[in-house]
Amino acid sequence: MHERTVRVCVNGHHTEATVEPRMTLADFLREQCGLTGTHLGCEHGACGACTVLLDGDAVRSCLMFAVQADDMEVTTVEGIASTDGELSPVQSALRECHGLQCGFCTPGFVMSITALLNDNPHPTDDEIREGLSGNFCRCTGYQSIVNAVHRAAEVI
Amino acid sequence: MELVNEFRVPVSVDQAWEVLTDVERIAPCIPGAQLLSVDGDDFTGTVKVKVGPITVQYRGNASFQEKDAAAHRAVIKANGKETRGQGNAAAVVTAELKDEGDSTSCVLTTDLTISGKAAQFGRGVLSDVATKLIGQFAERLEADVLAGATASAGAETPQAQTVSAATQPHDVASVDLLSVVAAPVAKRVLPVAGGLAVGIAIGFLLGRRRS
Amino acid sequence: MKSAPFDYHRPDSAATAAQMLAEFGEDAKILAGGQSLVPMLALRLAYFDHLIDISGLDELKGIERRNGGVWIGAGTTDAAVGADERVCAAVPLLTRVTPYIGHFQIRSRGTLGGSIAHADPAGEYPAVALALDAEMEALSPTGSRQIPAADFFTGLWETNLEPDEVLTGVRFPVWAGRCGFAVQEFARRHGDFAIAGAVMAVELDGDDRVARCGIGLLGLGSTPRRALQTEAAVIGTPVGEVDADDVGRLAMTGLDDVPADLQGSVSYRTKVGAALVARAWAQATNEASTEAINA
Repeated sequence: MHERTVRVCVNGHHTEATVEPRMTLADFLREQCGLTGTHLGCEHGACGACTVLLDGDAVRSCLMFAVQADDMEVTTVEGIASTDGELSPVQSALRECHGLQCGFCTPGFVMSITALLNDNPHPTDDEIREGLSGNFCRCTGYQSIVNAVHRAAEVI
Repeated sequence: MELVNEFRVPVSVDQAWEVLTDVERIAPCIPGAQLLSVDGDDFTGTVKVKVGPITVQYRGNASFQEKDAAAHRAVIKANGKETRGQGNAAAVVTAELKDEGDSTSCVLTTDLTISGKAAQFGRGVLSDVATKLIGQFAERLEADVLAGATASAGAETPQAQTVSAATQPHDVASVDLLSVVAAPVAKRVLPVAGGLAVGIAIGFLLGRRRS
Repeated sequence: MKSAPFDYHRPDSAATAAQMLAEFGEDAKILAGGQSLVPMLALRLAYFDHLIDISGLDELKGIERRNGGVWIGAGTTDAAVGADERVCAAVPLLTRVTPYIGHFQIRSRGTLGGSIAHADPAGEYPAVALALDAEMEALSPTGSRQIPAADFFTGLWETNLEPDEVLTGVRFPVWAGRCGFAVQEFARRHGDFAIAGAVMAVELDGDDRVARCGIGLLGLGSTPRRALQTEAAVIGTPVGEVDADDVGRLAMTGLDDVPADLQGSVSYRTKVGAALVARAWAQATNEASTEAINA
């Protein structure tokens, strides 16, 4: 119904747009900001492909309306590599350990793993699997992703 | 799937049959129901059911397949389609009144078929919602209609007169009810709306697969 | 899929939110973390003309000791509840049940009040609130009131809250003495809705008899359930004489609306429920037994 202006800081850039309140944060990032790295898998909070960081915390961007992120900071997968393009430790580890095939789930994993390692820099296998239970991958069978988390933890 | 619900009304089986087959009296008692049109034994309507945050609205039609006044048994067939969705519901409702002397028990047996989103949900919720709706219906029926109906029905039998004398204060209520139901409405909407309501109720329990 | 259109409101206080509820009636819904509501909206199972966002209200966030209990603001996130040391010390059931709530991304936004007001029968916080006889605090335009947990959950996704009431906080009693707590929950995948679950609080007296017991069941009815008969049966009995399996079996009697769906039949859920209650009993009583008598 009545549109509202949303001001969000995305990957360090201040963005402003006027949108319908029902536009999810995920759609806002993809359509208004042109940042299509955040993927839409299930759009009801189960698969984790839409995971982004909101004020540093991993959240499901498909379960938030853009208007709720007003005045907040969002980090998407596009903001994880350094400005000169160097991959973050998490991204490098995923590449080295072959933790992706089609890559659809990967942005969600990158964000979730980044958040996990921020909180728990040396997770056990069980902690990794539990922590990543909210991200689904259909290609890899997960083992290579778990390996990547261990690898990233070594490096960070 | 089959659902069975029962409720009681504190009048004799003949009076119960009389009232329950008189749509003007029971239509306002059905939670969330609205009759749209009547054509003999066929009628259309909408029913809106709320289960927590979920609201389901069906638009449908219903008709009597059987009506046996001697055995106090009626069978209604109802079909509904979601107004905001692609689901369908079909129900065959058998209503049987049982004489319990001063009161009557009404047993509704519903054979329900659901398609669309609702089809993935179990009978537990359906059953819950049906029970709740029928409970609400029975409460309203008992409180408003019967007292008013027996009072305003003009005392067809001495029994009715006795009851009406005891329920004088409800006269005003019954008049209000009747004046509300101004447009021509089909008779015997209870079982139909019950069926529609049940059908609607099935609606939506997503959630079970949530992250 | 996307939500149906709605008007978005961000009141500056809980009182204003309650007034909005009164003004807009059944076309309005409170939005907190949105982790339960937004999927329903996105799948068009629910639709409202007005969403009243209380997720930013500081007055609804916080954890405090109050009146012999722990008060938790309705807008406090699951993550904050799960990480709080005061909660861990005073109401361990809340801390132990939090990891079972969805996944950590859900817990960043989901709120304790939202979970309780949503009243999913498989919800973790509702079961804990019920088992511990918590009190829910509700605010309407005409005032506030306390609602005991036993009266709060009235049906599937339904609570005792009036249409113009906002849940502002929940007060959890603190169990002192020789207490033990346990959470046992079973789901097919980690983070899925529980097929069945049990939350258990036990207190033993100096002679190792059961002094107090609170058993909350989730996924075994249209609301969270309390195994009151089982509690009554064990109170006063020396803990060594209580058989865990018996407790489990007893807890499953009297459950008249166990769900049957794709996740499990009534008999399956009941079997799982009995086993979980038995394990929770063993775990909680073990913890209580090892507590020093003067604790």
